Amino acid sequence: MNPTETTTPARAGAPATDATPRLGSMTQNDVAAIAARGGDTEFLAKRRTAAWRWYQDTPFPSRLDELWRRTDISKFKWEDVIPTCPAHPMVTSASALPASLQEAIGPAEERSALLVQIDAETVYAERADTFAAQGITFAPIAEAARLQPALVERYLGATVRPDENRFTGMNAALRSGGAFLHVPKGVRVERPIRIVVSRQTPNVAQFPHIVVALEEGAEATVIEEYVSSGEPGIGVCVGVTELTVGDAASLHFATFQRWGGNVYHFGTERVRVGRDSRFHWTVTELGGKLRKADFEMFLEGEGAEAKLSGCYFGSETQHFDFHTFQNHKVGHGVSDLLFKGALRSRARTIYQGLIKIHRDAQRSDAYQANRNLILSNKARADSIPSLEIEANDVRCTHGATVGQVDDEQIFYLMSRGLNRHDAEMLVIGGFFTPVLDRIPAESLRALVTAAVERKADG
Amino acid sequence: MTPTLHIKDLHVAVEGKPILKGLSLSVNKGEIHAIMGPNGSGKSTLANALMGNPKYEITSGQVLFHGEDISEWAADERGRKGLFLAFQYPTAIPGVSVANFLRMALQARRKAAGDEKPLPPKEFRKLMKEKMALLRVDDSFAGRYINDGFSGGEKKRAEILQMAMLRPEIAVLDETDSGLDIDALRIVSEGVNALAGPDLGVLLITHYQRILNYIKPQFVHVLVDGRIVKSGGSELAHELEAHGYDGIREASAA
Ligand SMILES: Nc1ncnc2c1ncn2[C@@H]1O[C@H](COP(=O)(O)OP(=O)(O)O)[C@@H](O)[C@H]1O
Repeated sequence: MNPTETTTPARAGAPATDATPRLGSMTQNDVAAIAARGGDTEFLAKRRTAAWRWYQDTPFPSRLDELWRRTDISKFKWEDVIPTCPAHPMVTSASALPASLQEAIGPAEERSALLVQIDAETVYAERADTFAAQGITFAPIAEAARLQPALVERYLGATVRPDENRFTGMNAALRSGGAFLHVPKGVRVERPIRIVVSRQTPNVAQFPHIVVALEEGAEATVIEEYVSSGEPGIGVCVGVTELTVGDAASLHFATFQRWGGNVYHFGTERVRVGRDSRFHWTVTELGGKLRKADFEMFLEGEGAEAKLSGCYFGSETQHFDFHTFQNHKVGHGVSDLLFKGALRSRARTIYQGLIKIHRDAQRSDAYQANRNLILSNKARADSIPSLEIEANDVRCTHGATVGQVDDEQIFYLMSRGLNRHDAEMLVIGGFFTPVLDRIPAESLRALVTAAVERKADG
Repeated sequence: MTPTLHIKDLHVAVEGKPILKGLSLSVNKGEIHAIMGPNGSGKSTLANALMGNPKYEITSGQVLFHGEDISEWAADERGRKGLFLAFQYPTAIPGVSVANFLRMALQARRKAAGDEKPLPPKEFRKLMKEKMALLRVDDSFAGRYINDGFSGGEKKRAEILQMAMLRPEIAVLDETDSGLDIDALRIVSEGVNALAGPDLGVLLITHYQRILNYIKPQFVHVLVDGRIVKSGGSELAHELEAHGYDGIREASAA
């Protein structure tokens, strides 16, 4: 391995030794060791222990569960997964990060803060000078719990509980790295805050927990990114992301997943959106071997507006299983979801989208569209929209399509001199344009567009 | 002299059904030919077969372009070489802007002509502006998605705009007049006339005589049941108008 590609040339990327416990043989002592090493406060350590117990008593979901009917993980060898890894020391400058990560992260002027996690450790943290004066907290969870215990206790687990399912329990018990962001009342963060989760050690599992809370009237753009270049062995990531958007606050949250092809990533991600607030989730899913993700938007304050703009591109034998939930708990809320995906070779995608409008959530307005473009006759996309509407004065529209590139479009473009490949690329690009155009932050839009184009190009 | 486009005894089948049954025709640069025929005579089949639409199978005969048999060529090779089809029903490509597409198409065409360098963006924009003015379309046209939500007239103008940008040697206009009101027909015809000249050969396919009031062909051919049954000068169009296709059919059968 090229030494410039590692943060710690002597050790990073070294295989975990036999002494490193596998998930199958872990004990409560090993969990306590993780807590000690990660510098958990007492609150965090207790939470871990409780979650560990709960996790051990809870089975994995089976294919009898509606949301797991089309994704079979029964053969997955969880017992061999390594939940910790050799230490990666912190670096003090982004230029000391692996070159491939620096490229992914992009120029410093396009962000206001950055946290980088490699394997199970945070290796780099950077914040704009203004953060302290603005009272913004942005740190790995354990550090945030030492700095701002009350805030962490208030928001950690407030949106996604550890005892929801085995994955959320596993994440809480084995948490590594992650990030805690708190933006106080009325504070506006100009440039995007970036959280990068990466990996390089074979067979290591990561359990990032990302917590974002915006107080009333606050504004921010936050990008969570999962990126790697496909180290040997398999990669596992079990993540939890919980977001709170306070009253009249505005959050653009981007999930940008471009793992190498060896990663199994299970994620539970949820936002609670407050009164008169604006939330926009831009989701890009390109990498990984198996990706299972819940993207849930709970509209909890009247006048809340929640938008999700997602794109995915599956190729080879990638398996994507997405679930979205537009949960209108109170009235006068608007949710607008557009989720578009393309599939090549033998890729398989499942999209299940639920809109629920609670009994008292009158005057809700919900829109949901899932569109799939199939580029190979061996690829398969399932789209399963559903509605649960208990209120009577609502507007609700949903639609799902699975289609192929139209021969007439290709002929038209080719007749003008474009070769078949370029013609297909244009049609695919055009398919994604409406969703990419919805990405509000220009630098992110350029980044995502380029990544989608590279993926489309094979 | 080798004709620019030479169609020799062309037989074309669609889904196994023979449509063109031995059609021969030569078109040179600098000439305007009109092919007139009733519905179902095979006009669109000819246009599609010339452009290389894979749904239209050439079962025998040849299409020669500068003496080279192009009947096995893919559509893009034909396009880059200087053949152009203005579609009767141009298809929409959502999400792809007219300008972006034309930039790529123009570059492909220039590259095939031996010019590796793309047109500098400034010159490209200038060219677009000039051609959009010719077709009297608004500047916003460049940023719109190809044929997406275009009116019938806009689609036809967009076809001629593309032709103006790509400067083909032979342009096949498939019922470019259909669905146009008089004003739009005039604009489109003026566009074609502005492009016509010694460097362009036009094959104008039409059901109606109307467009020939605006675009004056030197040669008129009557297509009936997959064959050209009569060829002549522009007077033939007037004859057709007076007697209809049945008159020609009877005359040619006699
Ligand atoms: N794409 C197609 N699929 C099936 N049949 C076709 C297709 N195109 C043309 N045809 C058939 O070929 C014949 C000639 O059609 P066409 O070339 O469109 O004539 P015109 O343009 O003169 O009206 C018609 O019988 C038509 O039904």
